[in-house]
Amino acid sequence: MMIRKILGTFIIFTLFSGIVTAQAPVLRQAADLDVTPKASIWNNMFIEIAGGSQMLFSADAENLDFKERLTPQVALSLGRWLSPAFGVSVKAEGCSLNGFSTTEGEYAAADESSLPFDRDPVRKEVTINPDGTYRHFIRYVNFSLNLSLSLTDLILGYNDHSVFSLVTSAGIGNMHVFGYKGIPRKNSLSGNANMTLKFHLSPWVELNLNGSATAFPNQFEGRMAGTRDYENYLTANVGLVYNLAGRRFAGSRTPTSANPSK
Amino acid sequence: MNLSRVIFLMTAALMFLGCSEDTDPWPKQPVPEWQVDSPALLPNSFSAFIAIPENLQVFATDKDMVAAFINNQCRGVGTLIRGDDDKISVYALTIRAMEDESGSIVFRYYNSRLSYLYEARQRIAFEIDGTYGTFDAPEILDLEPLAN
Repeated sequence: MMIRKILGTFIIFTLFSGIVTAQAPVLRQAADLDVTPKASIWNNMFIEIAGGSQMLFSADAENLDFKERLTPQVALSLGRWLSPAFGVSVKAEGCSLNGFSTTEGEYAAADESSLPFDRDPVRKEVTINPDGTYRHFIRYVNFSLNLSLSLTDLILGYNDHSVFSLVTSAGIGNMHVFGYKGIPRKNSLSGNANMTLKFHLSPWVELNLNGSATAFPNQFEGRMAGTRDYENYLTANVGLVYNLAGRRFAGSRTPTSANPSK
Repeated sequence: MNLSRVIFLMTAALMFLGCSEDTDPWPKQPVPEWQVDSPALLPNSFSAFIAIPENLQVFATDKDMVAAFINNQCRGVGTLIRGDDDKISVYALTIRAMEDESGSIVFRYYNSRLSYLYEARQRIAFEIDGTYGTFDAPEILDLEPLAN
């Protein structure tokens, strides 16, 4: 349900922004006969595919080795720059997270009649260490709606020939944990913050170095442990961005290379 | 090396680092056949009330076993006694020894659910008619796993 709301909001937002940007060139032409790119709904829309690693910060996860805590991550984003500095996107990211458990804690799968061993179904699915600890293998996908702010374009001004941009973004979403190796299926509200170093390789292609943090309720994987209400994971990845119609912004300081008519 | 190849290699390296398997299974041990040989030749006794640590209580079953050893010989097998609240399992042992016994008592625990064998770090000197723990306050074993 939340995913539908996020996608619905994004579609409405995107269409509205398309109408607004389509009107702007017409007004400007009437004013000073400036030649602007032909408006298209694809203008400044982009798609990004990214892959990297992530680390879960959860109760008892620090007992895992550093390498065991690192897990793969992939992300797919679809978004639109509404202006050189502001953008909106939807993102689906996920893969796996490695958690860790002792026999302490409360479990979503437990009820009054559950025997102690049966309170966490994960115990039947994974290797139990001799000290009674064990790993949690979490498979998830996080859908989020994000607002982006290009700090360099906001502070220094937009330039079609800039080599890189520093972009920060934040959003909310729905973290869906799949039923896997005893982990119960569950949806949780998530919030994320992202920092991106964006290299403009051409008007159509960009390379992103992303770092992000995502937070969600403690019991997202069916176990309530520790003192924190929220837990989080950190992600570092490399993304490849394709601008569906190149970068086109009217009124830019220099002509865009995606606009040979200027 | 072109840029797309660099990107591919970086991403592949990051994702390769991220892949990790479950912990290698700890060696499973067969159910031990613990019994005291020739108890009639071991006239002296020592009583012990012991319990397994809290972190293993979750995995305990009634089929678990506890035994006491002196010089690697089984000198007593535990009997499970459950408390009224059923929260803690206490094992009662009568440990037998010869007149001139000089070795220390060593406890071993077998968890049948996990098929793991443990040995307690405690080393207890044998005393004729001596005791170690009580039913109400059993000694908690400090266990370490045995690979063989």
